[in-house]
Amino acid sequence: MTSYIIRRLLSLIPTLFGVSIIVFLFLRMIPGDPALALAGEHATEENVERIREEFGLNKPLPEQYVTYMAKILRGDLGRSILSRRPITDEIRARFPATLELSVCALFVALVVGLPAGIISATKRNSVFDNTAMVGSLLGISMPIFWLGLMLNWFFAVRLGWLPSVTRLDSAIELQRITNLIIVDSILTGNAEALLNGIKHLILPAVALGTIPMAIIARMTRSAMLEVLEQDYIRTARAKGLVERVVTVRHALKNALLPVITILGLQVGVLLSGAVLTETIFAWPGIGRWLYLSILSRDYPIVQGMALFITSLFLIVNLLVDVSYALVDPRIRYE
Amino acid sequence: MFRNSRVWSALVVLGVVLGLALSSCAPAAPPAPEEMVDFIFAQGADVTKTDPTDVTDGESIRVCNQLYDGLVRFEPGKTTVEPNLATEWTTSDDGLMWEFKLREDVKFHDGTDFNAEAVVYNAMRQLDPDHPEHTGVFEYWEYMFGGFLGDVDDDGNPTCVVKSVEAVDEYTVRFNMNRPLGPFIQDMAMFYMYQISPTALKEQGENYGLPAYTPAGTGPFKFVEWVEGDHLTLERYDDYHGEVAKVNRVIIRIIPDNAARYLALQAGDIHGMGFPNPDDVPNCEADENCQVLLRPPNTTAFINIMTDREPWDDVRVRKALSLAIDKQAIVDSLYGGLGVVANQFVPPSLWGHDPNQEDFGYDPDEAKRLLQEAGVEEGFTFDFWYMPNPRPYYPVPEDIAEAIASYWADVGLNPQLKTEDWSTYLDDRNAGVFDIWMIGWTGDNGDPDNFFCYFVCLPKPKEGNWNTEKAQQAIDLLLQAQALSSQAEREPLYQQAAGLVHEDVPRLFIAHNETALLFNADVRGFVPSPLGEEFYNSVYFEE
Repeated sequence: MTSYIIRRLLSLIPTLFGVSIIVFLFLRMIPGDPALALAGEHATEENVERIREEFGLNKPLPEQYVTYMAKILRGDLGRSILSRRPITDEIRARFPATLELSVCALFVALVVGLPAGIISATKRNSVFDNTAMVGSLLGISMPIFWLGLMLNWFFAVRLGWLPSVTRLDSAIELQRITNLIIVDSILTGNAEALLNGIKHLILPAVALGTIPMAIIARMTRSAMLEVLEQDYIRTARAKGLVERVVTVRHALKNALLPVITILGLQVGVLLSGAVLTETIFAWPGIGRWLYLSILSRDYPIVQGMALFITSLFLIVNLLVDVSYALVDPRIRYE
Repeated sequence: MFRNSRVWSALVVLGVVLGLALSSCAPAAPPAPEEMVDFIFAQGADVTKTDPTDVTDGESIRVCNQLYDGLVRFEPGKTTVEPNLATEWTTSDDGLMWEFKLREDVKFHDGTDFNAEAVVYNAMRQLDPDHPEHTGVFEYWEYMFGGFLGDVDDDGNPTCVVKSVEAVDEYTVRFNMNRPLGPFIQDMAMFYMYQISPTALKEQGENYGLPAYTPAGTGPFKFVEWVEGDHLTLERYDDYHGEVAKVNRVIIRIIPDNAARYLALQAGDIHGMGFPNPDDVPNCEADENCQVLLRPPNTTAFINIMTDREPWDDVRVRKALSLAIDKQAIVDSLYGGLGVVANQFVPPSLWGHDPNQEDFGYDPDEAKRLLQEAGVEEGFTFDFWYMPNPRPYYPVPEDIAEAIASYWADVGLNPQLKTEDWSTYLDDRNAGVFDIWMIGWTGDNGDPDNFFCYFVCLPKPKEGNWNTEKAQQAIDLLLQAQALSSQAEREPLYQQAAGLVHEDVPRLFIAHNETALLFNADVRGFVPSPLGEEFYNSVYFEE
């Protein structure tokens, strides 16, 4: 297993190298000049030329790429053209917000989606099954932008139960250590910030968790239905095992593999930035930041984030593959 | 992992116990809300820097307006200039020297003294590329003053209007000029001439203005913290030389989505916001808990025409395009009534605007006649370009473009609507790719030169290559006005130039729009400025 993990980690290097070339070239193939985007409508030719020179945008492409890769190898992702700030600092400031939101959204998705899928499968064609499946279909089809605004309007504006935007009330002071509000609240023993942070998390986590929740529910149901038809389940029942044990210990464990695969993909998607949710709830994560950077042709940010997100995806995939072996003893990695 | 439900139960219980334990050992509660009065304003994007000399975006400038002062400032709500860190100023008859007398009771937020040496240090930092703290791009200095020390034009003349800056005594500073610049005093009120503590600049070097570093100005609020992408907190500067702030803190919240920002206002999570969706303005007006304040117009939306290409080189065709558009209907329906029809570059809120100038009006029959007279065939097809994203002067560019295209179709033309992403749009505009395109301007310094000479003084593709006889006459007037420092002498020159533009129709002026700001109903003392130069020390809440 260890050698397998090392091999997979080593395979990250050529993948990231390939991604760096593709992103570098594609960004420069699309029309639009970052220097002009930065300088804006008021720009003089001299303004624009100075910016091109500052960021080396006037040099030949191969030279730009070699300079870029030399920096990457030194652990320097470069500076944003727009804000002129180090990209590693920007990621450090924004990624914790996305991580916190993604983890909570997944928590919501799992806590609701998994039991809903299991119960739907065991009570096939019941009222619960039909309701859950129609609900999950709605969850998949509902535009997240609309759902977010509705949740916001109903729970924050109409009822006033939950805050409408951001991660923490401005009146609350919290010492930032990891920039994860929940973790920092616990580490500093700040119960007020902990409660306030949780309240702020609820609406965006529900909005962001809706689609994964629906996918997990449907996937769990279909995997469970397939497993529940197997002979060994009939045998387990014939042995006189109670239905809960048959479902959880015998059926669910075997049905989990496809669910874990989907879960892994969802984790990757969520961590790479939930643009709409972050936009509606003014959540200061990486999603919207990356989107705006693409629009303004902020090459260093897009390149740096592409590498960062690719690494995240590959690591999550690796964890998913490793977890197969933990769930299914038949799977062995040499 | 599902075998032992007791483990899960134990974890849940542990979590609850831990939570309760943390609650009991939490630090003392922060001051009660009634003791701390915060003014929370939401904007759509994060601040890029808190260094006023090196920013160009409105979001950063909003914060800098609270942290810093200039030697002079724009009067709240106006475009005229009044004393600030300087108590008085004089200029030589030839306009080659400006002298400012400084206040003697001012300290920067870091406790260091504000004096003439500080002003010289700040100016030389931008002017001199060899200055140790010349670490930014200083785009506005370059744009407004023409360059830096050592920059020369093709004839070897210095491009920068500022020649040198010197301290005459501890509280008198002198700017020596290479040539007179009419709008100089207006430029001195702008954010890029705000005063920064030299000590802070030396200590922080190129990091000055970044989130983890503490900026030091002389403004009514001091910097507290900047949580990136989330908020900035500023606190009242009790030793402020002017009107001390009525609120304890100003918090600038970052809420990117317009609708979400309005929901946050309705929910009471913020007290004020900019850039609402046009539909939310009447909603706010109808809500007793909400109020709308309007910034006087400081924008001009227009359509640029490549005046040296057929058939647009015929003034009758250009005039016909203008006559075909019902601009008042566009202002009423697509600007939500927040604005006025434009007939010249300079908006009515600025001096230099000619109130006697009349628009051509809406006359489709006359437009048809002129097109026929100029030989433009029925169904003439051309590309009409519009920007993909809202701009301050075009809040809904696609809708406005569709309306204009339909007016032109009514007089027998066949415009094809085209767009592309914003940076490519600017690129293609500069390269002269477009024949007819939508663009506009937001004023920088309240001076008509800023609305005029930029577009007209040097004929170039991005400005439609307007280079006719009338254009040359207008250029002469504008350059003459630029070299004068008396507003009374300059104003008629701009008005004459506006007349020449009107006669030759190199632009189709559409609208000067007002910008709406939304607030909770109890917010008082906020003075909207046409230039966006708003100072939050006057803000308070009605009891």
